[in-house]
Amino acid sequence: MMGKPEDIVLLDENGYRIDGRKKYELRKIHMEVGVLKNADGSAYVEWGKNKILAAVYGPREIHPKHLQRPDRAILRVRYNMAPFSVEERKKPGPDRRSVEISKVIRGALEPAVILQLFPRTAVDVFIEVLQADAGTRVAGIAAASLALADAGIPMKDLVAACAAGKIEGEIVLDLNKEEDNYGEADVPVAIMPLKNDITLLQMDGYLSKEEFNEAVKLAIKGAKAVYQKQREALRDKYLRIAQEVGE
Amino acid sequence: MRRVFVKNRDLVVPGTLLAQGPFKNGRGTFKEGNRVYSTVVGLVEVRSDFIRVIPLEGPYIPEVGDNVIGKIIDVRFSNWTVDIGAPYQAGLRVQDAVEEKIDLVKTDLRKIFDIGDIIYAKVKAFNEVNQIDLTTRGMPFNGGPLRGGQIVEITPSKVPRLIGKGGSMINMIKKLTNTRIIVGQNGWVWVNGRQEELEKLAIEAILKVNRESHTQGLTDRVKAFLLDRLKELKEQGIIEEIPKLGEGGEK
Repeated sequence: MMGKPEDIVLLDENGYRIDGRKKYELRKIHMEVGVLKNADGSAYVEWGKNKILAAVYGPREIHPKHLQRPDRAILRVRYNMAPFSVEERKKPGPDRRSVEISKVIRGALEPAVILQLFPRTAVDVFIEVLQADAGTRVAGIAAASLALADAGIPMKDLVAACAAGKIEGEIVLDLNKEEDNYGEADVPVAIMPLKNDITLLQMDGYLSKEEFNEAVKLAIKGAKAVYQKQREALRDKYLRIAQEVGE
Repeated sequence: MRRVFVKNRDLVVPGTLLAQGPFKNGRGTFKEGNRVYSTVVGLVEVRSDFIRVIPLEGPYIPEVGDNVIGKIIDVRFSNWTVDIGAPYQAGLRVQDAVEEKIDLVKTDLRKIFDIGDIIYAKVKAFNEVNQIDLTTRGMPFNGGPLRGGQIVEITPSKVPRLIGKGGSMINMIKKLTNTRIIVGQNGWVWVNGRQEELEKLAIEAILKVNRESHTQGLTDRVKAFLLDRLKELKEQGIIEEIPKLGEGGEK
């Protein structure tokens, strides 16, 4: 939208994007659960050039005590970017952006987790972005929901997420960094695919009503593909052990 | 009309449709309308009208009557605070720990259980406000403290697997490694061996059960693993004899 260098072509005449993808193609996604020994649950997600680690602790007692809810557990989420995760070194620690993302991710995960089972406790989710390449909040949600399942915390459904956006006047799936920086809009969406509940919906940039509807539909489709990968990753942890012992 | 979409011992993830119809649903599931879904990663257990999922990970939820292993984390005037690996801390009162009446002013409770001590206790009550009361009365060696040895943590839902049918698994590990083992329902296991190597071997076996709990033929594999390692230890001269198992335990 602004300050786009002349030599960057986001969508060429053959319909290929800057990283060689088609309009409706996801980046390559790799997911793994149970990667951290000391966390109750953990997951590692590589989503294109994004590298994200999520850890879950709890349910455990809360201090200070006034934060306790007598009827349910509270969910605490911390989204954090490593100083080396972006090209220009990021000042360490929470900033306005990461505090807001932590808050929206908590909102995205909360409907899925059955918090009523553990009154007066807290479930802590830590999302560490080791390498960022646009779409870290959706990748973070995918990783966090895997880590929650890996910790054995009861959930109504996994939360899957994906973004759609607009580049060169066209609606495309799963923007990468160049497309996010020089594109026209970005729409991250998180869903609980079982009942098609939307738990996160944001928009950055400008879209017409029709374009917005198309982008949301596309992002939901992408999230459903992510959902399948999440289910596979969770099963894979145990199937691998079963295979190892020759079953 | 009942329809089941999974088989017994199937591996499921949260949000998997398990069954439809008038089912009673147990732990690890939730009901929406007449459909039953799973809420955890685990193995399905279906009986005629009952369905549940045994989780493969997850916190310990105390139940009254459970025998647990705990660690004293605080000593107060008339009670102890105990960590049993549950989401909530447990409490042990003086009258639940000793038979005779004692004068609280004159007695130092740290002489009975001190901070850091490992105890073997029973869950006496787990109430609505999530207060866990323990008792060590009537427990073996009055609940401890258990001296020496170390604590291994496994997933609480896998405790039945570690014990085995009629104690088959745990008795085999005990016998072959000549080690004292106490398994708490909370997934904490106290292991105390006569020799360091044997203690280590017992722990390895316990962790192997924890890791491979969802597979078949585990008892035989653990037995083969133990005999294998014992042979190595014998060759190294660390142990003199491989302990004999009862019926046909020797290869």
